[in-house]
Amino acid sequence: MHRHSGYSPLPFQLVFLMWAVFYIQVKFSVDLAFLGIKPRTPEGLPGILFAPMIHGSLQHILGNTAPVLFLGSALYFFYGRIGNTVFFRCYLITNLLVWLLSPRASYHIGASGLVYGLSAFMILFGLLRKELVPLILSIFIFLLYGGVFFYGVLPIDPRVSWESHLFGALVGVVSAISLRKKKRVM
Amino acid sequence: MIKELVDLSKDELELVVKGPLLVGLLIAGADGNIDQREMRQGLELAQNQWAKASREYAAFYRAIAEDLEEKFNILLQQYPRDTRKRQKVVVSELEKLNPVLKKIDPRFARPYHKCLLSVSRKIAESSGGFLAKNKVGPEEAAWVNLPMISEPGLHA
Repeated sequence: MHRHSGYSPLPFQLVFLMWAVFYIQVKFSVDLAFLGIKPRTPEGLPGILFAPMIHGSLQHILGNTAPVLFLGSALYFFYGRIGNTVFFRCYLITNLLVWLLSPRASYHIGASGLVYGLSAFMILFGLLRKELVPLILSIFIFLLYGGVFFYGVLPIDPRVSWESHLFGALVGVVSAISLRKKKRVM
Repeated sequence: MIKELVDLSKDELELVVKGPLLVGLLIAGADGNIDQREMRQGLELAQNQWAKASREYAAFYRAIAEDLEEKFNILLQQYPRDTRKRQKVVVSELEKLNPVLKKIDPRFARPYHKCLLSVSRKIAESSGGFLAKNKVGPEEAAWVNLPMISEPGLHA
């Protein structure tokens, strides 16, 4: 079968931007968290676009770098034809939902809403497709991120934006269900 | 008045101004013995650091550091003498900063949180004394990272 695409530079470009922004913050002692998502406020709107590029600490950015690269690359490698749809849904709709519905009036920053969206999509999509490769991929990602995943969507740690995780996961699940019958995905 | 603080109520603003002193009281008093020298040293070191890190807010921090000993003595009178009771009251006051910091623009809130941490660390380190220079004692270690105050902004 002809593969539509096995590669997209998008996850790498996003990670490059994440690190460039982080470098600027450290180098010039500026804090760009004001570009995060502040729910239901006009000043929080740019966050829908920028929040995933902004991270508050080295630990924070390191925690998101590998999953964005791995899940993003796997998405385009295995599901190239629907890669952009899934990626942009998980990026933009997740952030829009955080802006609209998050109960906490604080700034949400970081890329893990996208990470949760991509993982939820990949786990569920593999199960729904009932094909060998997606199923193996689904189980692999579940084993890799499953534990953190369930912990992360619950409001346990007050410093963590569980809202981003929850809405990311929701967008991933809805995307997997809505795209499950697509004939050609790679 | 700093524009980021305009929307705060009088009580909230007072708490923000009092924050570094409360942190000083918490850390300097953690071992039951409040050393004014330790407190002053810590706040002066932190003040220099703030001035470098945030020129925009230097005046705010300078205002906090003005007449420090006097302010600190007044503050001290208002809290229980017993260390455990005092720590409990100070911790609960510092916890009240969380909702306030969430309301403020992170351009102010995050450097302010870092400022509180730097006060805490400088005071904890300055209490190490001559032989144990820069060592943090066990009583201070429990509080030095200010676990009762979350970093403003939610990490996703």
